[in-house]
Amino acid sequence: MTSLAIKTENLTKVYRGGRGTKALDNLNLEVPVNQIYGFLGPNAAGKTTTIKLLLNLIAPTSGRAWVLGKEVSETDVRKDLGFLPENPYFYEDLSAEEFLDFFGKIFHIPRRDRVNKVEQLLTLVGLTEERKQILRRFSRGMLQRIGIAQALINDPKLIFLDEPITGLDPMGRKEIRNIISKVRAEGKTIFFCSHVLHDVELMCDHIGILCEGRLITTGKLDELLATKEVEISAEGLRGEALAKLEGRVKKLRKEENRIIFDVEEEALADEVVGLIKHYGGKRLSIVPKKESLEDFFLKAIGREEYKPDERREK
Amino acid sequence: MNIWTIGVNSFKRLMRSKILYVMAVFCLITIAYASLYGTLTAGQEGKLMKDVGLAGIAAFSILVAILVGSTVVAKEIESKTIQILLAKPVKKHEFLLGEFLAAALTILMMTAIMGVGFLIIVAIKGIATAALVNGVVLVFFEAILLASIAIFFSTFFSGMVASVFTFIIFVFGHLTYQLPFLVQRAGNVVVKFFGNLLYFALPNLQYFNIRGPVAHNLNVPGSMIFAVIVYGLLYSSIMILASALVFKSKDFA
Repeated sequence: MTSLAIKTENLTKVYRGGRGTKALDNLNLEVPVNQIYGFLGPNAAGKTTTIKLLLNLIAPTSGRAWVLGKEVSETDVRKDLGFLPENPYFYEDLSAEEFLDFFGKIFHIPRRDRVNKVEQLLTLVGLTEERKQILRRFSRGMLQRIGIAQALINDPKLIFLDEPITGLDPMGRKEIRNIISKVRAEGKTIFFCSHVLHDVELMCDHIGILCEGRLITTGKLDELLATKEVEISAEGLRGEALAKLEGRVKKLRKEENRIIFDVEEEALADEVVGLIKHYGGKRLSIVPKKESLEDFFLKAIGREEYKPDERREK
Repeated sequence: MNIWTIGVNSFKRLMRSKILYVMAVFCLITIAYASLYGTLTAGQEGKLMKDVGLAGIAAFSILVAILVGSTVVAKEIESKTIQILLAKPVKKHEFLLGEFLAAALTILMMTAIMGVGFLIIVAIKGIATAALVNGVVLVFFEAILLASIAIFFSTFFSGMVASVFTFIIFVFGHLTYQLPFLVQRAGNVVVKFFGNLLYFALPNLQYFNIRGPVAHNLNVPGSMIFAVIVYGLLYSSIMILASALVFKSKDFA
């Protein structure tokens, strides 16, 4: 289990009160170490509930969960965890420096090391100038950055980031992405919940898609998005050749002087390339086709259109 | 260690709240005003000043205790800052004890500011006695007890509801000592049962009130002061233990 950063077995959470909402339904999840794992799903899918269960902030109705090889109920395991909540709710009457120093003390970091660590983190998140400023005066983006800094104060092995880029402007998103990339380069495992599929596609190695409390799919992003389709581009083909080739490919389109063929099966690619050569055409490229994460996600949750705000997250 | 860290952090934040200082200044103005008013009551000036002074400190300390006790935990739950803290290697009871420590330090600071101010005023008037210090000390422990009750309520109610319930306990707590007489007179067994239950469950806050004897320069034995302090600490400990039990199974969704 040590090669896994997170493991859950039939993890279920039913919130009491009202109709007894089943927020999470028999979740079986395995997250490898040293990866950025993107946890996706529409609102109220159970993403935040999963994070709270893994951090022992709420108790499961049934099932078990381990992080870094230990049961989540063990207080000690949280020495190696970092957490940035969805809407950063921090001590707004503390300055950035005091805020980080407080969490450094919680981890019993000696004073001298704490001072260095705070300095290093303020530099990482670009808030050295604002060190004395109280958090009440921070913008949303600055709060996200100081939030990431507090999540890193203990040099954690596993970091939970709940919607770290949602609601930020493009600049803010880029800054957070850069910080996450730097953190990832240090070999940490990042469990990352987000609605922003573009950013997930840019950053994550593995993904899991959750819908209405159930894990629909999980795996390596490249493998999940890979298709059997191949895109072949060629030039110098006309009339009869195109008519002949059209019958062998899924789709054919013209782009300037080039002809693009979408071939459904890799096995057919050789035949199409042969025909291009036979009709005097010139093959320019052969590229395996990849599905976009958005298309894959929509297919996975069984919707045609993605509306993240249809339901509110519990 | 975590208890101290959490306590000091919350105390630091609480002491940045201007309302507490406004209350302390207002209390000192009340005491100073009493000294002026006392000059109109021939021969009673000293008694009036001591009585009004201790009553003022008690009123403001208890207000601080209810205000701080009902918000120190509730605010962390409502603003969800507790989630960040409990996601660290912090046990729920450590958090609770830390917040209680913060409330106690705040009450200590505010009672000390008002108490020292009061003692300076009575010393200037030449009527300071050691018994006045005992009076202020008991006010502090009564406030601590009420803060623990407010924290208990805030573990399952909002800050506002917790403060209202604590105030109700404060009012009834000062009437508890009359319950045995009322129970004796009651003929109904059910009334007697509930009367006795309330007598043992509610804190007897009159124990902490020694304003009368202090104002009249009557001796209050040290052993009695000590017993009342132990009573206050025991009651507070039970309330914090009960809060920890509620907290143990609480979800922070």
